[in-house]
Amino acid sequence: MRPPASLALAALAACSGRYGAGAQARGAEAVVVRGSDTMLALLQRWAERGGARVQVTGGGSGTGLRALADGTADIAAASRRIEPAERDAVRARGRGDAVEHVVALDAVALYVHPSNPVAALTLDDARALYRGRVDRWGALGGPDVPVVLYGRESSSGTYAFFKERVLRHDDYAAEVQSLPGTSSVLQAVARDRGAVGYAGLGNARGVRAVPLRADASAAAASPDVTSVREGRYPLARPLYLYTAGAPRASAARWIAWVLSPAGQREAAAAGFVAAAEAAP
Amino acid sequence: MSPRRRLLDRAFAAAAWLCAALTVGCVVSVFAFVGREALPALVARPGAPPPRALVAPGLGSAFTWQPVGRRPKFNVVPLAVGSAKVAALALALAAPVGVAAACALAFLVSRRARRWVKPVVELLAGVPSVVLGYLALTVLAAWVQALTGCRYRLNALVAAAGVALAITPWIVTLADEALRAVPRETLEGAYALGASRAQVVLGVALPAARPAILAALLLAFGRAVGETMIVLMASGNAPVLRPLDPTASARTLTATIAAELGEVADGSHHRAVLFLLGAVLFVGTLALNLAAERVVARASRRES
Repeated sequence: MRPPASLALAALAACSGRYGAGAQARGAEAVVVRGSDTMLALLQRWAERGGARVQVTGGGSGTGLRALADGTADIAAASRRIEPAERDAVRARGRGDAVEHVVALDAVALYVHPSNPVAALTLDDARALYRGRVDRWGALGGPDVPVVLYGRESSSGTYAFFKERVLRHDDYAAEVQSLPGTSSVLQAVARDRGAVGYAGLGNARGVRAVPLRADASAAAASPDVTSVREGRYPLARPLYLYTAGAPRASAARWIAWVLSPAGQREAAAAGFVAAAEAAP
Repeated sequence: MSPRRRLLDRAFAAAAWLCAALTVGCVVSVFAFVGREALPALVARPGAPPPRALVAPGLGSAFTWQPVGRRPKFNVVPLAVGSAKVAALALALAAPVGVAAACALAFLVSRRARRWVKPVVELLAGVPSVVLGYLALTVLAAWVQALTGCRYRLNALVAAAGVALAITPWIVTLADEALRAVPRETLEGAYALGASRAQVVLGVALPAARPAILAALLLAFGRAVGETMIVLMASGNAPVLRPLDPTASARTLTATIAAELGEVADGSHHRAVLFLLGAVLFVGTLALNLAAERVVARASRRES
């Protein structure tokens, strides 16, 4: 016998989410986080597991800081330091000065094929490579194979960070092949004997991370958690969350969770390095 | 006709006319939208590079596409050349194979075999381009590198091979129809004069079907220019300007739009330039389709 229509209606209403856990969460107002696209995946991870209702939007570090000054965001996520003009704008809002929290560290490593024994590279070597000035690996102490450059699309935060820190705002060579994500860069490098690619830390199987040194006189540091946290690795940057003065209770609770060992474990899982404040 | 039937007749005509108008309206609206978004790239604006920088060489006679950075550069030439290069290579790979396959299907294959060969060929047209792209990226790239020993694993040739896989079924289907449209009397006359099968196919059928086959090739070229996913995955996307080197990497107009449009800020020059690329593709494909139509029209006029 077919179930009565009333049962179907009841089932439909039950699925609507009006009843059950959804209702109690709707009582609290969401914490609005806006900013860095580099941190977007990380922020979403934290938003899901942090216990508070958090709404995350990207748009870039600049957009996030502007939203903090306008009052349209509770927390600004930035992959760079706040600028003095932005600090003034936040102060002008009257809720206090911008408070900085370092929540994770982002490091970019250079990867080569496992058969490439090049010992270490300076930032200038990396710059010469990605400006297309190095034709064969022999010039840098590697085997006599032609250099093949892999990079990311221009929308990537890693692309921007590399351009700013290594290329010093010069253009990439036209020959740099653009790949859509970290894993595609690593896969391409693993398949190509003369390849070099840049990507964040973590999940680096089938490739070899090259130790970097800031200049010829500095010691080379491998891209691992310790050297990043100790500041010895030249291609690392802190990731920040900024609030305007004292944050709201729910926002403060969330930030405390982010900085706790549980939150920092999520950062490590997302491919970043846990910030110095928290033990791993 | 009864008045009711006349009314139904008129209603049907009106509905059909409305659908046609809707379709044309859609095309015009899309073009209007793309054109409107692209317009800011063509006028000189403060803070943005001048429109002539889109095509004129920059410092050191370089044509650079590097839209993100302190001094963004929006030269479109490497992208247009990349699109043309990949599409031309794809057509060069697909056309001989496709036309030959069509000849075989139309004349050399038994009627029973044709009944399953044709659907299998058309099956290739059903493969999603992302799958073909992945195939090109993994399998074809390895083969091309083994064959040519080229430096770059992902290059225009690999992408063109993938695109050729996508357009071959089109060419086969359209060329097959063109060949089968050659009047039987013409072919039988040739056979009656003692021509061999090869002579009939190559010397009579192909020349007779040439306008339609040419139109098919033009359409396939248009399709190849518009192909996005395969080139995005397999060409390496490096905006290198080397028109005569098939083993150099290439960046096409379509892959550029696909890769960059999601991240541009509203109202930025970058966004306007990307829409300009879209408008260029739109106009180019339209021109190719019109040319194909004109070729067919001229041929049928000549025959009648």
